[in-house]
Amino acid sequence: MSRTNKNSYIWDVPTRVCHWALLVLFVFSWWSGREGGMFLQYHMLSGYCILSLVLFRFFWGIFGTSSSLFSNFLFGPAEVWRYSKTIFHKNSVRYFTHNPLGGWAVIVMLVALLLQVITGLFANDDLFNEGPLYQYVSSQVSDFFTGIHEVIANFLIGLILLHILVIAFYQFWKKQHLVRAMITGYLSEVPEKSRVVPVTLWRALFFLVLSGSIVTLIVSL
Amino acid sequence: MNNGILRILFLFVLMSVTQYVHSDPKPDDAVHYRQGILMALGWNVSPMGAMVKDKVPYDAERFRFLAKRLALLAPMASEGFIESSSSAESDTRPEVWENLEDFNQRFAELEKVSSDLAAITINGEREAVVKQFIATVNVCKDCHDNYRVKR
Repeated sequence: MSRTNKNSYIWDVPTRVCHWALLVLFVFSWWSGREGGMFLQYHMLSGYCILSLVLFRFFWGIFGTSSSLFSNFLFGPAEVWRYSKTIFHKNSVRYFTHNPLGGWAVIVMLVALLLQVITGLFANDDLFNEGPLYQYVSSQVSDFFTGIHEVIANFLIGLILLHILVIAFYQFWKKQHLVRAMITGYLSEVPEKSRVVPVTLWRALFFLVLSGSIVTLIVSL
Repeated sequence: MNNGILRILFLFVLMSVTQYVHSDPKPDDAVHYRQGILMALGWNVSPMGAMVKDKVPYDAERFRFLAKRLALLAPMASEGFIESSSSAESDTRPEVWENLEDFNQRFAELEKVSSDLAAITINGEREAVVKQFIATVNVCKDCHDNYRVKR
């Protein structure tokens, strides 16, 4: 990890931990969901963790640090269009948070994850596993949610593959080392005003506990 | 009554009986029949699953009772998959009718694992029972994955 003068801090610890934890949990959920049977208990636990992290990320997009704030990376259609037209240029305008397209991709991914967990709460496996809110819906509705749950799972796989492709494109074509940035927090050639000033981790912990509590409340209804 | 009329009557009775015996079940009846049996299988699997997952306390006697019923029901379901019902509305995927041999093999497998489960519950330790229960539901799941319409 090099921390030369040229490298500046853009992703704080909570955002990075959230990102990689979501990846690990998603892979585990995907695997355990396919295995089914006894693994579904852990699949559900993993889903609760994902829901907590997604809620946390929404909080962090409002109360977090500058690069993670929705208000700093969600742009209007004009800006998105302008950026889209230059995406294949090696020297397109650089953003030191999510770019105008990537920002909306974040929202799409978070909302997809949110819907995925919500449908999972009502799902059933036709054998002996049911989501914690299964009891509140008819078995037809539960079957419907189960079907949607599988569709969104595939949609998420597609989104993640697209995400990896785009990151590779930035890495090798545009020479922007975004993977390293998401691991170490540091990116090169960041203007002073775009640097992130980390805040105390207590703030993140507070929102994490808050999110976790909300999820615990929901699943124990 | 003379012999001739008796004979004719007898013939009619015989014809109607054989007619009844030979007439195939209606396709939608076959669908309802197998759905009923499969529903009953699930009905018994659910509380066993709850015990296996420790959602409710493990009760060996109740488990034995449920497993016995499961073993009793398991051989009954495949009967409902008659070919005339292949186009009747159900959650059966068309692949069933193209792979009837494999499909029936799965029911034979279910019959075996569920009767093994019932046998184990008589004297078996919880651990062995759980292991066999998982083997049993995996047969259910594999078949659903291959032959049941996606929801």
